[in-house]
Amino acid sequence: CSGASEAGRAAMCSQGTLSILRSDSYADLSQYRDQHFRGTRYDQERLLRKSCTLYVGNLSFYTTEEQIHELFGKSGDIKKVIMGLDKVKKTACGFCFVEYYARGDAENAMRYINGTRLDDRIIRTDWDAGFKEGRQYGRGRSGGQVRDEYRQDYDAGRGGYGKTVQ
Amino acid sequence: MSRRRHSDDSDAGQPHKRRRTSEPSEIEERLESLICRVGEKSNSSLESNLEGLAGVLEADLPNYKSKILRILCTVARLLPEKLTVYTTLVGLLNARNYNFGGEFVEAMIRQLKECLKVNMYNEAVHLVRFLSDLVNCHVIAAPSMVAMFENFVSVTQEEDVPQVRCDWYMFAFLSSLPWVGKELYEKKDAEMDRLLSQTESYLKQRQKIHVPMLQVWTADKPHPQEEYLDCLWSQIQKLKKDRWQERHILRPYLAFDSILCEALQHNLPPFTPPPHTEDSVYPMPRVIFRMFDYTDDPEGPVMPGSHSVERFVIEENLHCIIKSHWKERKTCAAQLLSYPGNNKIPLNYHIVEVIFAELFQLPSPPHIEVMYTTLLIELCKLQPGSLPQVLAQATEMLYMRLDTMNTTCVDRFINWFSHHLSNFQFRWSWEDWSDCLTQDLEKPKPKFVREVLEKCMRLSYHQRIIDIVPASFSVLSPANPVCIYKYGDESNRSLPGYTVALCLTIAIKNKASNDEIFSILKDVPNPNQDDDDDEGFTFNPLKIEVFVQTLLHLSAKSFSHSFSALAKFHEVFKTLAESDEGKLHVLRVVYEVWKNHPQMIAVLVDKMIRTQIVDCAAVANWIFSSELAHDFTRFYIWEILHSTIRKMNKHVLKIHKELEETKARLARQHKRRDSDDDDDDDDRSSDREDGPLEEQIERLQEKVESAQSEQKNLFLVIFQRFIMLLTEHLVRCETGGIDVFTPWYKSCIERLQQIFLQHHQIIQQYMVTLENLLFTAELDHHILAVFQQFCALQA
Repeated sequence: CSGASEAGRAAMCSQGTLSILRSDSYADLSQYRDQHFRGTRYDQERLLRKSCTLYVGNLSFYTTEEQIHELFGKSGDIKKVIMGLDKVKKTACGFCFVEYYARGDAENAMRYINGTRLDDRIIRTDWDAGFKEGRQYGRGRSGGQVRDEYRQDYDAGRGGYGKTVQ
Repeated sequence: MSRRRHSDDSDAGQPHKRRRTSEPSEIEERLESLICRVGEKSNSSLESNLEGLAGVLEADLPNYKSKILRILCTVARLLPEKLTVYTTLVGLLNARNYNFGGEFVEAMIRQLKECLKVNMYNEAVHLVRFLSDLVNCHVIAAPSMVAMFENFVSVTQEEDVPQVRCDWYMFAFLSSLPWVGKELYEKKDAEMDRLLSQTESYLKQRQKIHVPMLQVWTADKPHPQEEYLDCLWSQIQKLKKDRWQERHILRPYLAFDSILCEALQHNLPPFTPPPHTEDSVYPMPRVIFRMFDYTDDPEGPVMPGSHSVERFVIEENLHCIIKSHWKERKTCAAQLLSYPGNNKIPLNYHIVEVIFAELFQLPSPPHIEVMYTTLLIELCKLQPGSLPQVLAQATEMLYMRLDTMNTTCVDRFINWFSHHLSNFQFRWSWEDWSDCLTQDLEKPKPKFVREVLEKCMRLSYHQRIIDIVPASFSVLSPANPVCIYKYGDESNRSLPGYTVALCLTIAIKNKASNDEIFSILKDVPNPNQDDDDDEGFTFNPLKIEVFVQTLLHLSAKSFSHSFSALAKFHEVFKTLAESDEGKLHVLRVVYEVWKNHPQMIAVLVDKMIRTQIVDCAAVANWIFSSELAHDFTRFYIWEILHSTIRKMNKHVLKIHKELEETKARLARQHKRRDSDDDDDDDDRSSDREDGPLEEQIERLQEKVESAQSEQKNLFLVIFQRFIMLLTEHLVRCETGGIDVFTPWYKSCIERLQQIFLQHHQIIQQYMVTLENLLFTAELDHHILAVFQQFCALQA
């Protein structure tokens, strides 16, 4: 296929599109910024905008890497899944990172897998600046995620009551 | 938690964020917003909103004419579902400002020519339709529109052009008639009759070899799947018989008739279709997907018939809505459900039909498959009292027709249904499908249920699936995905290699290095040879067996564990699998260990290709090997093969891109040198500068050629194996006097079709080789037909 045609097509598309059609809210950055990120806000956002890695939250403690691979594989080839672990127990604590080879595949996961169910739970995905050793651990006092420290409700898939309640 | 700092330092340019823009850009945004959102969220009628907007724009014309022109042209091209709203707006503007109307028409023609030049045919159709509706708004004179259509139809007289070129011009003409047929016929009936009769002759002599390859079902009942031009022609003929009365399309311009008919019209300049070139790529032909008719919703409004023009318009508009809003699932669902005419048509049925039409479209869906699953879920959320029932009804109907459904479409049905169920606690009335339990397991219905249950298990876990199906379905339940280790049991100690396996296990648990592994493996005899020429590490199947079985068994806990094992002992793998036979044997052993866990097989094969332990051709040969014959029709095998082909394709593209980028760097370097006139005298230094880049380019060029050659070889291997397998079957059937069309045969021939369809762009490059080497005239006509249908797709 001809290069001239490709360039012409690109020109057609860039000179004429409409902002209502450009809207891609599911793939936009959220308000969340990792407080432990080393670097400026600008650096962080630059990394988030080109990242191929997603943070996945609200998983059941029993959800396996295999299930995550099956679900997230629907938007493209997965490079790596890193399960989130309780810092003390070293067992799954309800989050993970999914890294794709291509940014476009991660975007499709944000558009179509975020907000749907895995193990009957609505899971949430968000852009991640990139996995670094140590980030696979929960940051709550007891070793799990912070949200499981303080929550009041009973969640059978996440160890029952929150840690402070227990 | 995160104190949001002001946006000064983060203006990396997201379009929706506010930035310190210059005035003109703000005004353009405002104008665009006014135009695109006309009529939304307003208490007044659409007509009065349009009138107001026309007034605003007219006032803005002196200062912002070019912006307004650009926005309106873009809207015409990209918002076809709102066609008549914007033709009305242009009509009102033309009535107030004749020159503006003329400039708009000129701009549209320029845009149309540009689209055709760069192969944007789908958008070009929208432009043609817009122009034709402008006749209804008294902007364009009917005779000049008819003249344009005469030029379109005369394309069918061109010689030596692909049929798909003539098809497009025919489609552009016919598909505009629901909007403008009445007006054109009233003004120029003789010319229109001539055009329609020329259309009829063209359609009669058109070849349709490609049609079977694009049909979702091989049966004509209950609904024939017509070729798209045939269907449209029937619809237009019926429209003509109904004296061009069309009542579905919303026409805001009717309310302004008194104003518009005072306006002066413009004549379209004579339009010559741009000639066919080598670079022209026309849209592929389509088959119209239908699954519902008026009998399916007995209590609601009647569904327009398959040959009614209403059906055409509704389907076009719903497809356009999905095309506009595919990235925004909530908006897309809301826009679909607010399609006008809601209580006169069974909208939920149309929506579900259009979505499945896209999901099952051959060669590929317009959008990524998972989008449709999520869109349907959003629709169910918005219409919880009605849409889930329609969806359940659709699922039931698709199940009933599995026997004649194209294998590729069955794949998509399996993926959709299992993923959908996983969002609804796997609730389904499985007993309704007990009929499949009495059938041969290879038949489409039980096969479908088995594959669905396997996919459901992948999204949950084995016991869950046992729990959700009735006990009678246990014969279709997936195997517990456990690893099979042949050296695991004491009772196997007589197996050759057993002691080495034990030794290896202990060594690996004690964190042995690659070298230590090599020395342990040295003791494994080679069943293939008598002498030991082990220095060369020739193909030793037993070594491979012992090593791979043991390693996979030790790392069976999770994907990550297995991947780590592959990475740690990469060197051993590479050495053992150096030869082609070695690669094949590694794959065989992986299968033996993990045959209960197809998902694991798939991810291991993927990893081994990416780390170059095996190559794509080895995977292809393995898939067609006799060891895998038992699993040959299982879905996971084809997922592996297509994933392998995709990796190969991506690899070629990646190196090609690297080559282009390096060439561009060299060109920039030359340019920089040329612009520095002072340094021009030393030729030798410029050669030295170019040296490394030129070397790199040469190396990359070789890499590209080698990758392309590997890619071609992969396809040739696959086609060759298909031909061998199918020929064997055909010969066996013919000599045995049995019917060729077994479930296996249907599956296999459709898998061959799937290769052509899914990778058609790449395969187009090999047509000559394929024709001369593999798909020759001596081939059985059943197999040759597939090739011929493929050739017909872009003919």
